[in-house]
Amino acid sequence: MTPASYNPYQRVLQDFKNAATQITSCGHDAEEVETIEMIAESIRRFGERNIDEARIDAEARIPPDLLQKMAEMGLFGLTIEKEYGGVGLSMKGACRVCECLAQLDRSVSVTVGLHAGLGLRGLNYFGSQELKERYLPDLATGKLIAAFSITEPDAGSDIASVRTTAVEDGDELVINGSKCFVTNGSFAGITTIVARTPGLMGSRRGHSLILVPLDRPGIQRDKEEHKLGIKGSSTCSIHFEDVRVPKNHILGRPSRGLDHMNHVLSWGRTLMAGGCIGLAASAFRRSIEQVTNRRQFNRPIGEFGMVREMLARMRFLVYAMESTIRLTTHLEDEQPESIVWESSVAKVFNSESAWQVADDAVQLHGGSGFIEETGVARLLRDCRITRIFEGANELLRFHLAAAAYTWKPGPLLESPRLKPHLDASLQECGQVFDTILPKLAGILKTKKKTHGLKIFQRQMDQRKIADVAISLYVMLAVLVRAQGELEAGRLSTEMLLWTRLGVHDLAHRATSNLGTLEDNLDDVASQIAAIECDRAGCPLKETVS
Amino acid sequence: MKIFVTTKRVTDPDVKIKVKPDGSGIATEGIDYKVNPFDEIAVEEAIRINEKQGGEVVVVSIGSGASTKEVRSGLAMGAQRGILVKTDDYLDSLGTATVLKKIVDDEKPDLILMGKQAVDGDNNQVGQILADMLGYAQACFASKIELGDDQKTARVTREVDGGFDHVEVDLPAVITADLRLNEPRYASLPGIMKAKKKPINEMELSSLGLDTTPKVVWHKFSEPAERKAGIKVPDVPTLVSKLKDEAKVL
Repeated sequence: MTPASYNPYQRVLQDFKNAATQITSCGHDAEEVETIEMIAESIRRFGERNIDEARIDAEARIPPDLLQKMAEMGLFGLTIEKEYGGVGLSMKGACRVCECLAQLDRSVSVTVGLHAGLGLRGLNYFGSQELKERYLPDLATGKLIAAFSITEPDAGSDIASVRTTAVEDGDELVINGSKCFVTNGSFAGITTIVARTPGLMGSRRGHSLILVPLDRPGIQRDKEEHKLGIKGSSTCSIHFEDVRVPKNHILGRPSRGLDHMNHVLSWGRTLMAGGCIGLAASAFRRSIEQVTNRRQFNRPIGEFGMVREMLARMRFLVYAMESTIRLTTHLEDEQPESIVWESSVAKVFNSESAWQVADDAVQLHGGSGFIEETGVARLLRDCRITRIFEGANELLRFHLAAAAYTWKPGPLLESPRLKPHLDASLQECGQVFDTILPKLAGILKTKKKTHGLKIFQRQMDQRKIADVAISLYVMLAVLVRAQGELEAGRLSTEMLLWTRLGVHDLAHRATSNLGTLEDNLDDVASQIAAIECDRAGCPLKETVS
Repeated sequence: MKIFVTTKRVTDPDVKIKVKPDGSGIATEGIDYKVNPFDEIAVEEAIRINEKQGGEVVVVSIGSGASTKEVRSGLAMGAQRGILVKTDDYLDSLGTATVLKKIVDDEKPDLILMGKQAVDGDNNQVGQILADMLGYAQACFASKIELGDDQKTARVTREVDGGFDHVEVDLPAVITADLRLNEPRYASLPGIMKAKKKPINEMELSSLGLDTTPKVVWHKFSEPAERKAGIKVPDVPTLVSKLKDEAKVL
């Protein structure tokens, strides 16, 4: 997924000053920041007047007039260049907008985010001038809404096993196959698909990304799926039977579809992780209202230690999620091709943190949190899918760990030193990072020595390694941010508190995972699972943990 | 028709503000700024008139360089151009009106629309003073504005206790907007993008040669006294006697 010897921490530390300056803003430059602030304010008002999130959830759809208003508002043009009638926001700016939308309603945010991210990235980045001129103007006004169709009933995480095919016939491609769980599926006017394209243009094998207008003959959409959360967003299956599109609808290079897909997914994941911030911020805001108003034992419940502990965790998680997105999108700004690793970290960390924050919010609301009318239960339901879609967190952990195994040991891993970059007030936190990273390097080395190539099968190790790597990256993001804010004279007292608690908590998680990498009962866990599957009549072949 | 509409950058009215420990002003750290809500209503009205009548809407503001953001938000709603008089000095109502008069003299608009007051100082004076300085008619606290067919007059409805007050003014006039005049639109994303290209004429206050020395000065800011905790009374007679003897309200 990334070149061998690539080290994400080194990448940030080598260019620390620049990263520290850039991470303090939510846009690519001052002009974009001003635009985004105006957009954020407009979206807040748009939401106040037009969005009834309880109704969206109850009716399990975004009302057509709301969709119309979203289009009139220009929301579908976020990531489309100005020359095609869009706003042309950077990834950083688009993330901030997805965050604002998710504060209002996660279904609305997913609908827009999917269109702006996964739906359009292929066309925006790999599409020919001709295709862009033909489709982008209508996509910017919302006349066309975009979808992204990759998953099939038998191809989820193992995406190379898709069965949908696109075969050459003269100047056209003939597409056959079925895609499921297509977000925006029922109203999308165009979709990017991943199809098997054997023999295409001389290649022996491979997959291609293809842009398919959904008004072609041979396309059939199934009914809406009934979902646990983000009920307002549309999800359905789409079937392609002898669907013909011109050959120039291939996005990027033929048979390089899986590589291109990784690039597109890094956009989609990052935007989705940006949305997680908004949902968590909304859960946190409601929780503050709750703990200051709800009285038990003659006092507001916010006075109790266990409640404060939860509030503090929620607060720094929101801050850490935001910092992670800021750092990741800054890196994308510098080098658009290579944030696959970082965007996966952002996706895993933000989806799980948002889940934690939404779960705490329900807990703080007590019994009423479990009642739908209160509204926090919906946040929890809406949040759940983010740990699954756009790459299940387990799959991403596998890739994160696999990449870690390719980092060159020795100086490259041991040399990153964060502490010297930091102000005196942050050095203690920096020291924590500098202590943990070499420990991870040590373990990677030992594991490789002990298990050889088998390390790629040892998923229980991979899970822990990925978690240490994630903790370190988020720690780095939080500390780069703190240093940046400090240099800009904006590091407030509370930000410093969030940073300290955040780094401490992440270090604790990392240390615990490092410990269990050496001392664990993974083989016992593996055995238990094997016994149970065996008992069910399906013995597992592999018993490698 | 050329319409002037004023916008002021004010501290976000939804955020609780704090007084600086030395009482010299409001603590501005971490405070968000917004367009004065009454000014936004005025901008909306100006744009609605403009959409019907044609002409030009000019957003005028006085403030620090950062106030371009508030001018720009008026442009994003649909105004055509902006004027910003830059100063970091404090201006009282008279000073503000003095600056505005100078701009009006130069530009000669047909109608001046303003918010009835800014929600930071809550003075509610600038519109009235400006009308007087210009010798124009004034119609404050408008809840409805109807222009005459010849566009030489305006019929303005004001909400007063127990009913409505109708005023007819000759144009040019100063009209200030009350809360129920309209519901301001939110800017669309294309509107925001277009606003970036619209011109804002920035000038320094010091270059205008005006005397804006404040006649009204702020001496000290302080937090309102904290409310004392209430008490429970056992019965109605005690309540009555306390209201009579202690609170002395009966």
